[in-house]
Amino acid sequence: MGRTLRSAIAITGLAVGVGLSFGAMSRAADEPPPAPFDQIGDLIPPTEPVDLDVDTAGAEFTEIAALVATSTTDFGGGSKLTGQCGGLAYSYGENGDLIDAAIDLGDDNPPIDLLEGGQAFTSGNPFKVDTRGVVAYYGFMPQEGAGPQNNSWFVKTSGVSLDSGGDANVDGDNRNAGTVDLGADLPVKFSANAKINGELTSDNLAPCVGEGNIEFIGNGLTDPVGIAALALLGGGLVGLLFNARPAMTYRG
Amino acid sequence: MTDVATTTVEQQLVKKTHPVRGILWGLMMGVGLSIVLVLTKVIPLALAPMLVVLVLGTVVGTLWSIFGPAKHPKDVVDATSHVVAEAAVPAADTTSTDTTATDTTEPPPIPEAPPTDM
Repeated sequence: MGRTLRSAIAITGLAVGVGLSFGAMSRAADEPPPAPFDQIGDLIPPTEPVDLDVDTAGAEFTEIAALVATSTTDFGGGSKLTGQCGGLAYSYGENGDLIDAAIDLGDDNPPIDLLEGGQAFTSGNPFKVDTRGVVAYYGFMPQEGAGPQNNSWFVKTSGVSLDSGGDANVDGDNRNAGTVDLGADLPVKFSANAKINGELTSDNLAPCVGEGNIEFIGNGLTDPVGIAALALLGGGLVGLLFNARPAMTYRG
Repeated sequence: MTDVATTTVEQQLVKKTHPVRGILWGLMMGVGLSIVLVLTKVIPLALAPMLVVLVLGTVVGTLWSIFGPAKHPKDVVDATSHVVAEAAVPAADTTSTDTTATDTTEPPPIPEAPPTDM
């Protein structure tokens, strides 16, 4: 279960941005979401779930997926999750408020934003995660039947590996659920937009391939890394102005 | 006298550049700028745009250190006569400093003769 769990996290992370998250931001509720997403909001825990077990999350996924299936979402580029994998993810801010949620039904369509409708994980609608918050996830591969055996997976950004692994999965586990406490797990808090891609391959299933955009929400330049960056920038400018400028001097 | 001395000073002044310092300070500025731009979400957290900003900072630093406006020594403007004097000394005689010292020293006053009773 442990290693399958990691595999499921990796794939779900691709689809829902479980891998990395940052910052706290409230959802702009200027307009009510279109049907059926106005009903889906009631199904999502409004505050951080204490424990998300597989059975509860699986039942929740089924209920939400049935509603989402009635929507008419226009899909385009910018994000994808192909293969027999899918799941859902909820992102909570530092104070426990829900800031984003997305689902992938396990078909070849991209993931869907559960709060506002429409395609999720695009550059225009990235999945928001708080670096001091929590992400709850549920993932499967496949929805019915044996899970990926002798699998290996990776998650990358710009070609740089964020995490990778693999598992024999002799029990054939095909789903997992849980929470990732980014506030506790991430040593550095920051704000950034990132594009993430990944893949899971196995002996018995078609590859699960995904990519999408994540918005990490932090405190911007007031985070320690921001202050350090400003110090570097300022130090470099001062050095250029006062230590690297050409000077007229006497020969010899 | 002034024209000759000024020409001497201009020949002595040279432009000194610090390209290595420019590269290092520019690199530091580029690193800081790339992180600031990522944190403010101007550029994405990705290797390529961050490297572009870093290289840009390094190039700007290098060009500044070579082609930037040069600082001038303060004494060229403020104390031209002093510089002229200093510059003229080695040109006149580089082997002896005693001569210069003698030339510029005022002669001692001549003592008055004592009155004579005649």
